[in-house]
Amino acid sequence: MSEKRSASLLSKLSGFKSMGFELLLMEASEADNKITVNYLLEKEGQFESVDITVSENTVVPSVTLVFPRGDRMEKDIEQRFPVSFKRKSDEMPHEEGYSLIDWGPFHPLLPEPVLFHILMKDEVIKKASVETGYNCREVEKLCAGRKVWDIPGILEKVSDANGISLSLAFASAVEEINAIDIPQKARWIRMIINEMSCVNANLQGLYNTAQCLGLYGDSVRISKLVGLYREAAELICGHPLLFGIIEIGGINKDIAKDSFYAANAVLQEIENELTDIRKKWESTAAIAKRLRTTGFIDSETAMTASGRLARAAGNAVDSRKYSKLPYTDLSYTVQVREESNCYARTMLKFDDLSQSFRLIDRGIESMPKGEVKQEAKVKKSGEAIAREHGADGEVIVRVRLKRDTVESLFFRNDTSVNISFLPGCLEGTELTDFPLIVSGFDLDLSGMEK
Amino acid sequence: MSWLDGIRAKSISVLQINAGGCTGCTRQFQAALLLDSGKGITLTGNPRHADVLFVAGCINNKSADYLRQIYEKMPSPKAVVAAGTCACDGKLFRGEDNGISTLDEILPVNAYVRGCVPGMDEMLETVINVVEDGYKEYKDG
Amino acid sequence: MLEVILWFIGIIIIVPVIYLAENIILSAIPGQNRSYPIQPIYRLIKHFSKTDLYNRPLTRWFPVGACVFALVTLFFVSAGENIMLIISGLVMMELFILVGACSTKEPYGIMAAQRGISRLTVWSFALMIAAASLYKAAGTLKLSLAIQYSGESILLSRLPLVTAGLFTAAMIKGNLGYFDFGINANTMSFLDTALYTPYGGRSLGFVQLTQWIETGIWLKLISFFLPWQPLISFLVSAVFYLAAMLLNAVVPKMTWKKVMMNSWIWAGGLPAINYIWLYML
Repeated sequence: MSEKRSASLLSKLSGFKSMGFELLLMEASEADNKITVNYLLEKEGQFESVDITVSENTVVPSVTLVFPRGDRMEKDIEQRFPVSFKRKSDEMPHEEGYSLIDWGPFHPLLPEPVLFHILMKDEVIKKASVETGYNCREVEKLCAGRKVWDIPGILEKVSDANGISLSLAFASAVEEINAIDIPQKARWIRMIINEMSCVNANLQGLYNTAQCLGLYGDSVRISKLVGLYREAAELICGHPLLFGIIEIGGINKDIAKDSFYAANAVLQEIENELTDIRKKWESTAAIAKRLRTTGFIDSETAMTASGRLARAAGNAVDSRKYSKLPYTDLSYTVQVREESNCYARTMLKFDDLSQSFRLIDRGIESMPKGEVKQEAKVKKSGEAIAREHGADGEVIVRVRLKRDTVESLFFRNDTSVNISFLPGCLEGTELTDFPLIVSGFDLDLSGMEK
Repeated sequence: MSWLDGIRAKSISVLQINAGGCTGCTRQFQAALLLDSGKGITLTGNPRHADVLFVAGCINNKSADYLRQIYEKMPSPKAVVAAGTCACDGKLFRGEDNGISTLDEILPVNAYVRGCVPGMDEMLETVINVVEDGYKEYKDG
Repeated sequence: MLEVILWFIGIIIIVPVIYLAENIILSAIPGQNRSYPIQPIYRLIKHFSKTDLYNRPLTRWFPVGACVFALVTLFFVSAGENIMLIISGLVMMELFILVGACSTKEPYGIMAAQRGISRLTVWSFALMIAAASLYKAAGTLKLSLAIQYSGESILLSRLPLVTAGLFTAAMIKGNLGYFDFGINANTMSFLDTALYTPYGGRSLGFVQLTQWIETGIWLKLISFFLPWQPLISFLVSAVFYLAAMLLNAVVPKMTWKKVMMNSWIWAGGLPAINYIWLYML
C-alpha cells in the first residue's frame, strides 16, 4: 500500500480520534480479489465509518497507532482474509539466560483454551504472548445464509459468558430492521434473563479467581452457588443455561410470576453466601494483599480498555447505555473502582453481581402484564448494529439481512479489546501470579474467536 | 467387574478439558461432583495423574493435536468420555469445512454423554461405569 | 528389637490413618467433594495398578529407590538411632525424588525440582540445627538416649523452638498451609503438586508411599522432643499434623518467595535462636 494512502488512512482515523471517537469494530469483506476493511467509529451513539479497499496480500498500516484496542480486531481479519497489518511482531525472542515455556492451551486454571508463550528468568516473566484460535468455530460464516429464526439458538451457545447477550443483541438488530415493537413484558423478561446470564458468568469468574488464589474451600462454595444458579434458571425456563427462550419478536413462552419469585429466592440465597465470601476476601490480609499487588495496569492504558477492565481503573464505561432493554426505567449506578489491579477487578465482580441481583429483583417487581411475543414479520432487508450489556462489558452485533435470511453477521465482545492489554500487564510478574492476572481479565475467548 | 476395577471406580481422577465453546458441560460436571453420586471422583490438572479424560466442547484442527498429546501422557488404563453435543457429534457448530471434528475422530472414545447440557447424574454415572467396566467401550449415557 | 519392629509397623499403619481421618473430616464438611472413607488407600492401589509412563529407567526406578531409603530411615527412627543417620536417609530420599523429577527433562518437572531443592535447603538446615541443639542439650545424638531426657521434660523445656521448627519443617515437607512450595499454589493445577507433577502411573504410587512413610518419620522424630510416653508423644504430634492438614484446606496459598521467607524464619530461624540460647544458658 502506498505511503500516501497509508498516511491518508491514519490521518483520517487520527482526526476522528481527536474529535472523541473510539474504534467500535473492524470488519472485512472480500470481492473480486479485493479486500475492503471497514473501521466503524463511535462517539456517544453516533457512528462514523471509514473504508479502505486494497488488493489481496497488501500490508495495511496498523490502526493500533491510533486506536490500541484494534490489535485483536486486526489479528482476526488477518486470520480470515489475505491481508496483513503492519504491527509489532509477537514472536518471542531467544535470549540467553531466559527460558521459553508454553502455558496452555488446556489448563485447569484456564476456563477456555488459549496458549501463552512465556519468556522468563527465575520465574519472573519478561515477555508473554497470547496465541488464540483454539475456540474458533467460524460462527459468523455458519450463520450467513441461514434464516433469522435459527440464529438466536446458535448465538446463545457461542459463549458461556455472553451467549445470551449476543442472542438478545441479534434479536434487537433484526427487530430494528423490521420495525418490530416487542411487547413490554417481553422486554422486561429479556432484561431479567440477561442479568441472570451475567450472574452466571460472574460466578464462574469468581470460581476461577478462588482457584487461582488456592482457596479450595471457597471455590467449592462458589461451585455450589453455580449449582444453585442453575436451579434458579431451570425454575424460570426449564434449562440451566437459559437456552431456548429468546426469539425474534419476544420470548417463546410466558413465564409465571411465581416462577420468577421462586428463582429470586434462590438468587437471594446466592447473594447472602457471596456477601460472606466477599467479607472474608476483603478482611483476610493475605488474600487482599495478594490481589492488590498483582495485575496493575496504568490508568492511561486502562482508559483505552473496555468493560470491567476500564471500570476498575476509574473509567465509568456504561455498557447498559445503548441496550434496548428497559435499564433506563431502573436506576442503577455504574460500578467503578480506582486501583486498576486484581483487587479492583475482583471486587468489581462482587459489585456487579450485587447490581445484577438488585436489577433482577426490581425487574420482577416492575414487570408489566401482557403478551410476551409479537407476531414477527421479517421481510425487510437492511443493516443494523445492536449493542447489549454483557457480563464483562458490551457485546456488539452487526447484522445485514436479505429479507428473512442473514446475509452477513459480525459480532464482537470486550475481550477483543482487552486481550491486547494482557501481555503488557504480565510483564514483570511472577509465574505464580500469572493465572490470577489472566483470571482478572475475564476473557470470553469463545465469544471473541467465534 | 473385577475387584481391581471396583477399587479403581472408587478413586477416579478426571482430567476435564473444555476444548472450546460455552463451557456449559464442564461447569455442569464441576457442580455434579458435589453430589453424593460423585463420590470418589476428583478433578486433576495433570494428565499423568488422570484416569479419565473428560472432553466437552468443539474440537478444531488446532486443539486436536494438543488433545492427542494429553491423551498420550495419561498412563494406562485410561478412558475417554465425550460430553455434550459438541464433542459427541459436533451438531450445532459443525460446518462443511470449518475444521470442527467430533472427539471420536481424534481419540478412541469409551463413552458418550449426550445433551446440551447433559444431566449431572448421567455424567457421573458414565464416568463411574466406564471405569467399573474395565475401561471398555461403553454405550451412550 | 520387638519394640523397634512394632514401632516400624505401627507407624506404617498410623500414617495412612491420619490421611484417612483428613479425608473423612473434609468430606463431612458441607459443600465439599464427596469421597469414600478409605479413598486414599483406593488411590494408592489404583496408582500401583497403572503402567509406568516413562521408558527412562532413572525416572522409573528413582521413586523405588526413594521408597527403599524411606523404609530404611523409618527403621532407624523406630530404633532411636543417631539423628545424623536419619537426616542422611531423609536427604537421600529427597535427592532420589528430585533427580527423578529432573530426569523427565520437561520444564515443569525441572521447575518442580528447583522448588524441591529450595525446600531441601530449609528443612535440612532445620534438622542440622536440631541435631546440634540435641547434642548440646542432651549430650548425645542418639535418639533412644535423648528420650531419657525427654521423659523428665528437660528436652522440651530446653528445645521448645527446635521442636516448633521441626514441626514447621514437617509442614514444609507436606506442603501445608503457609509453607506450600507448590508452583501454582492451587491444589488442582498441573503445576501445584510440585515434585509429584512429573510422576505418573506406578512411579506416582511409589512417590505417594514414600511421602506417607516420610510423614511417619517426621512425626516420630518430633515425638522424641515431647515429654510424654513415646506412644502418647507420637499421637500428639500426629494430631497436630492432622490439624495442620485440615487448616491447609482453608488458608490461602502464597507466592513461593513468601513461602520461602516464612520457611526460613520458622523452620530455620527458630531452631537457630534456640541453639544460640542454649549457649547463653
